[in-house]
Amino acid sequence: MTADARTGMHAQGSAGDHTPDDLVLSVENLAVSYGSAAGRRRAVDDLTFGVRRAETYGLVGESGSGKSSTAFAILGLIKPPGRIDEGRIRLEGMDLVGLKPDEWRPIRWRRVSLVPQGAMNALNPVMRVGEQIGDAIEAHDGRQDPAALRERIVGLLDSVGLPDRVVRAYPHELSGGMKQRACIAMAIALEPALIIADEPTSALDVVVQRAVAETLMEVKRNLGASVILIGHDLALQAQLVDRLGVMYRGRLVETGPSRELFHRPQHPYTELLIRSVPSIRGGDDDSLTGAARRARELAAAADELARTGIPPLRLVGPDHLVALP
Amino acid sequence: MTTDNHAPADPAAPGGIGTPDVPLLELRHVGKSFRAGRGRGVTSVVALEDFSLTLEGSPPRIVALAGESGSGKTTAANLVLGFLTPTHGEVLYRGRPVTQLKGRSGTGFRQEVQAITQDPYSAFNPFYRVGRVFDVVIRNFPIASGPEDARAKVAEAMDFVGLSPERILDAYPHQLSGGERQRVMVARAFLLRPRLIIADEPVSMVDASIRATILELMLRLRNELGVSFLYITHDLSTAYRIADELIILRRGQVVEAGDPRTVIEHPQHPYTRLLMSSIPIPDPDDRWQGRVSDLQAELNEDLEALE
Repeated sequence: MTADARTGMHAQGSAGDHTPDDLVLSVENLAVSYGSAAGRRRAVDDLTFGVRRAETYGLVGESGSGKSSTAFAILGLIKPPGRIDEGRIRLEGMDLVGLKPDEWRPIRWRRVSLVPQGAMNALNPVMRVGEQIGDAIEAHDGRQDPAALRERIVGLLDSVGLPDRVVRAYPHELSGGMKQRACIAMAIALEPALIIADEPTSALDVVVQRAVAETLMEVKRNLGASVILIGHDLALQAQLVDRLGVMYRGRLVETGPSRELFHRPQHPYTELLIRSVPSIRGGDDDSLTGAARRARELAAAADELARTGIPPLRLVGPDHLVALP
Repeated sequence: MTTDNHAPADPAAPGGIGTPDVPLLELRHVGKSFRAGRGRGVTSVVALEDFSLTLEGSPPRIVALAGESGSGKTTAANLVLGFLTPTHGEVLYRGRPVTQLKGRSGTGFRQEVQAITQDPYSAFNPFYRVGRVFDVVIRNFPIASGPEDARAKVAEAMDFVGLSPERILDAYPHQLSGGERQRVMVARAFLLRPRLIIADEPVSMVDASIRATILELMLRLRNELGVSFLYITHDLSTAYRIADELIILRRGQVVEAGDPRTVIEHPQHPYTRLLMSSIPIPDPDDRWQGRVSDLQAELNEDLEALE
């Protein structure tokens, strides 16, 4: 397997103008485990993928598939009893595995940031939103002139569609969608190269979800940043991502351009995952019984994967890799 | 409807509530306001306005109440469960105001009307084994004739939702997946043989692979046990699949109601159209067009023009 294929990159075909140098992030053979008295459990196992500059990469899977652990590993947030057992994570050419806490300071927020799941709990409830964003800026850029800092915060809030008054608001005064926008403002405050969005809209209703997703994509475009969008909602992924990877039990089952995956999935698990997305459009087999049958097929496919194990990825088309024997 | 419907308990009816020919659930011009702010800034926020709904109960139906956060759908659920007292209007369960169902008729109400919530974890006490959920039900309601019968009934309920009693009952809540916890709550409801279940976002926190299973259980409860549902959701795609009637709420008011297929396939109200156009379609070749903030601005203009 070539180095290109290993990171999910291929030098020919539709993505032919990309070279490995385009990679903002490369994850190679990553393994993360969590320990307890009963032993260690692998949450991420031999995971290899890459994210290109200005690209949106989706990481999908059901609960427990290892997508959030992957995000935490990239952000240096795996804490005991969890640990990175092996592998490399390189962000803009810099090795991240094994960095000491103070070495993370110039990286986190400035090069890679997080839009967390459940913004409700991510903001400090006793600090005004503006102060929290100001703190994040000053922690990295040093003391700022108060007037200039305020202007910068107002500018950030404006870029995510929040009015000036939010500077002085406490989190509880904001709706769920506004809180999630405030988290996006904080994530872009230091103009990182990579934004990791962990289920950023999972608790929001459809209209607010769409508004927040559009805001995230807009700020990403303006910054020229890359985004890893973590989630289990395949319909949302189809709307937003350029490429996606499907995870199961800590490993990639399939990864490729989103068009390829949605229209020509190669792995039966991917296909079932896509077909189990509820659709409002009807179709040949849109009955609930059909949906429940597909859900059972998906569970059976998952059990089968658990039994047989997941082989290494192999290239089946431009940029398209699948874990089939 | 005459005042006879408010007559004292009919001894023939289980739990002694109402008479057989009155609707199972009726909301008559219900309004609910909350006080917000403090001191001189205190204001009244209208959560639900002039809301009426009739659920006959026979044949059993699933009525979906859909809308965005703050549309009043959870307020409606809490009014039906008697957790809130309406500011205006009446909430009647089998002809009697739910806030007055106390004592013997209250026990009947609490058996006949069950709730399934969004986060099944919060419904469990984390320190007790899962089986305790059923023990409490059997202690408080006249369901089983003795310990033997109780075990058989619990086993039957677990079988209905497809869970193994051996594995689940002795486990602690945190050892179960979200889908399993939600199925335990359905089993609990099954055990009580309710007439009405208030299901508030029952599938919004579970994986896609288990979502259809839970919805299918709701359909089976309707078809096999004659249970009616008030199904609270912001997800029109699941309402489309299981509801017999769909009511769209916006800011405490009904904007559109009717047969789910008609409402979803031919939405008349601009807000319903906005909701529809915001549902992500699982196809990268069919992405959202335009920006939702522009669509919202258009909606507000349209609504102002209507008023």
